[in-house]
Amino acid sequence: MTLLQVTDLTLDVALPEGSGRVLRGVDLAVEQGGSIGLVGESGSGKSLTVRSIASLLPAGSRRGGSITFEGDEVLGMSPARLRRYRSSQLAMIFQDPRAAINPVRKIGDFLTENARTNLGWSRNRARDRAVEVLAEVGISDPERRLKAYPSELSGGLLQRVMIASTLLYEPQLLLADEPTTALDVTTQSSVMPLIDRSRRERGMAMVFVSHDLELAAAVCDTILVMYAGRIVEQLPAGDLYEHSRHPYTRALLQARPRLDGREARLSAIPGQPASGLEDSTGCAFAPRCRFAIDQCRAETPLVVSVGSGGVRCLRADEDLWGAP
Amino acid sequence: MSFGQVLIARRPRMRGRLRHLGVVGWLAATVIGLFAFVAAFGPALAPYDPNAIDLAYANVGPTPGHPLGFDELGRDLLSRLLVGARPSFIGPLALVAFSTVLGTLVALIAAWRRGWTDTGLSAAVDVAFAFPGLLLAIVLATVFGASLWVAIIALTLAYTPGMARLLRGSAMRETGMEYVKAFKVLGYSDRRILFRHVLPNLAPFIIAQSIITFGYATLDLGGLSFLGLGLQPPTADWGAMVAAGSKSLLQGYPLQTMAAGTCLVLAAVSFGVLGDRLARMWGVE
Amino acid sequence: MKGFLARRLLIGAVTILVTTFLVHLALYVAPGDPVSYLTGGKPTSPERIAALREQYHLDEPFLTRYFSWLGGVVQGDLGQSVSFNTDVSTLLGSRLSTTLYLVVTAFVVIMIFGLSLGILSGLRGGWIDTATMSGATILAALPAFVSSYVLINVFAINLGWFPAIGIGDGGFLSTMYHLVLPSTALALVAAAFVARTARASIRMELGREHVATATVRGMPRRLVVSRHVVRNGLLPILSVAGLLLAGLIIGTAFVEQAFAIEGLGSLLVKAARQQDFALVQAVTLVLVVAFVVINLVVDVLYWFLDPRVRTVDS
Repeated sequence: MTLLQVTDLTLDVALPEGSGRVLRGVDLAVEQGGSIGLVGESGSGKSLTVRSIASLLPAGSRRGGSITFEGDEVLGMSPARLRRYRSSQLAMIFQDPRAAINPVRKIGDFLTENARTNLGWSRNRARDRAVEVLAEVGISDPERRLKAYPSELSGGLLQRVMIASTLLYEPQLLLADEPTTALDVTTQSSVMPLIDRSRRERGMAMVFVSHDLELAAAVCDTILVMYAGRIVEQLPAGDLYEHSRHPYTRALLQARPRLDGREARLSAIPGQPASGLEDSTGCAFAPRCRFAIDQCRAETPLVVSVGSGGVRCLRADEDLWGAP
Repeated sequence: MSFGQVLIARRPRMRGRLRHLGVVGWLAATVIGLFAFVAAFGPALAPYDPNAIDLAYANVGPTPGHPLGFDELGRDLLSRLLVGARPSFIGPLALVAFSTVLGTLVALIAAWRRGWTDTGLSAAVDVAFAFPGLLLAIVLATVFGASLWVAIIALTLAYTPGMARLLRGSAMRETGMEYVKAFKVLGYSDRRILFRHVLPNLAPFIIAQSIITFGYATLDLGGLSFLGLGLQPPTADWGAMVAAGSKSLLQGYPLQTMAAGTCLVLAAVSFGVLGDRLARMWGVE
Repeated sequence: MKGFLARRLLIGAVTILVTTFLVHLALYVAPGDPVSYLTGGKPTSPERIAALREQYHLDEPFLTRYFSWLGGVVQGDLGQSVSFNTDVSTLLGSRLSTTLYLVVTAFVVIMIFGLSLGILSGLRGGWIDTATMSGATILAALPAFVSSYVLINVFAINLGWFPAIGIGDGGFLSTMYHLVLPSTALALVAAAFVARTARASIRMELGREHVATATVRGMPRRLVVSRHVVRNGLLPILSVAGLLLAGLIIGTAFVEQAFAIEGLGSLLVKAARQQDFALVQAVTLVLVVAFVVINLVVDVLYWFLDPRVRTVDS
């Protein structure tokens, strides 16, 4: 059953010189218990998409399209419904735990705040549950940690605390906005499995935002690649390496350094990533695409169904890559 | 040295679009210009003798020929304001000049030598900065007797740490630039690099800050005069006139105090606004 | 905590000693004979001169003099004022409480108006924001010695709502009534500054991730504001509170002069004009002690309110 459905989501943000369109018709769907990875470079709009799902829009912005959760339109929810949605059905993990957790309040307050205010739990119940989830995410001496302040914990531990805060209750949807980007590689490799395991055990659906294609492919069922405010490719994670068709996706895959050292030079994608703000006719990726033809610059490509996914490219059905 | 770095050594300094000053900026500049003009030519411009006492006219309001009326001793108010402009301008000018020069020196030394010199100077500056200037002025006035120069020296001592602190950041940035290293390698003397290259590049920031400081200086010195700890009578600056008119104000004749006070505030605000706009125009905020 | 407190107390004590030492040194450096300062230049009998030399240890080396003074202070003897011809301690007594009332009232005004308007501006924006910020810009440029007279002229002379001078007959209500205008004059510039700082701080907090976190968890807006925005946003205000109070204390010199109030500020100014060194020295001591105590209290409060300070410290 579809838990979350985003249809033609557009977002115009307020800028000093007027307004700019940063999301241009994003479509995505998440099944109950399913997981999708939203991948792209900075400026692609992936963070804003996820924040829109939580109805966390920047001041002065205008949105179009629809986001439905369990059939209810998120962008038009009443305050009471919105509060229920955010406090008990949704959970979000932010990129930088040190910025996302209030530094002047205790860890215990952070963990129990939601449950006590919105879900009506008693102090003791919340406290006991907090101790349980801290233990679950692998934090030692949880009772003592409840009284600690964020400045006393390392980045890795703080991120675990943030993960723990999503496990206190039973949300149906987890939004993870680059949860491991701010951590070092060793910590990353212990935190990511934690997120993956916890959400599978609880049957939570997940939207996982990252700029790391491989990481997303490892933990998600479906991958959506975003560029300049649009989804340019969607496909099952397993098909990513062999069957991706969009030039941007393939370029991202090729840009990864090979660990076997057989590569002479790193292939990079020429040019700078475009944001949705730069409005132009035609395909946004055309300036950097080695397969671009004149038609690419003239018309904006629509999504073409390919296999069990879709590609936004005029040359999608051509075999641009040759046999592997 | 590459071409790019030569360009950095010779940055366009104080050019900028004059329209960035805006209406308010130009207004401020006009007021300051007027202030400087009156300060220079005040005595010549005064229609009457500012010291001519005539008690028959004490606190009389505006009359034809005397647009601002008279002060508590029957002296023409307009003439006194015009003449009072000079000390009200020269005082802050000296104060700003001294504290800017000293503050810049301290900042440059700290930024050039770095290491312990910087740590020591910064610590000293922080300690000195915490001490209120007014208190210092009061103590020095007690010891040396109250006068305009004692006030200026006391406030210079108080302003210098503030200036040094303000300038240290930019000085650090500037002395850390590639062209400085390049010049050192080329064998230029410290003095040459500092005074012919670093300082001119810092000039826009220093000048803009000095102008802003001029505003504060006007109010601080005016305040000291008000308390009787600055310029001593019978010469009067605007601060002293605010005090002189206070008894009259209590009796219902506020003109002297209000006029002198308005002049002070107008001048101070103009300097603040101009300095701010200049900083924006030159891109040195 | 104890280490922190001990360190701060030590720094405070050292500050007081160094400052009083420097002030004492100034007399030593001063041109002219110290006696003429002490007699105020008036013709005095040789016996009186000898007595003064004895009392102020003028024939003894500088350091001895300083320590005798210090010793006297500890015992409550702050010396004699030549201009008033009484004990300094007597002079300070009543004036201290007057100035205290003035400063505390001004501080309350600043917090009530400056802080709340600043917070509202930051949270709401709109016309409150524009109005408050415009007002703050104007007020920030108006020094206390000018605004005092504007207030006197408008509210005392023309409207007659408040008294123009003095401190009343000593009763609490009468004192408060007389302090309305002076404390407002004293508070104006600082209130403008606090309003701007609060607004900037609140706006910065509003944009922070932890506020987004709280919002996304469904916390009600008013809780997000009180617990996360305002609570965090007030910390920068606390850090300037010390400087603010010091400025208020100094500002009393102007306001007390304008309103003819007998407080420490006007006493200091009078003493300076008469070159009454013992009095200036004593009042300076009181002020420096006040600054040190204020800074200490602010530091301790900060230690309690911002856990990040504690982590750095340990």
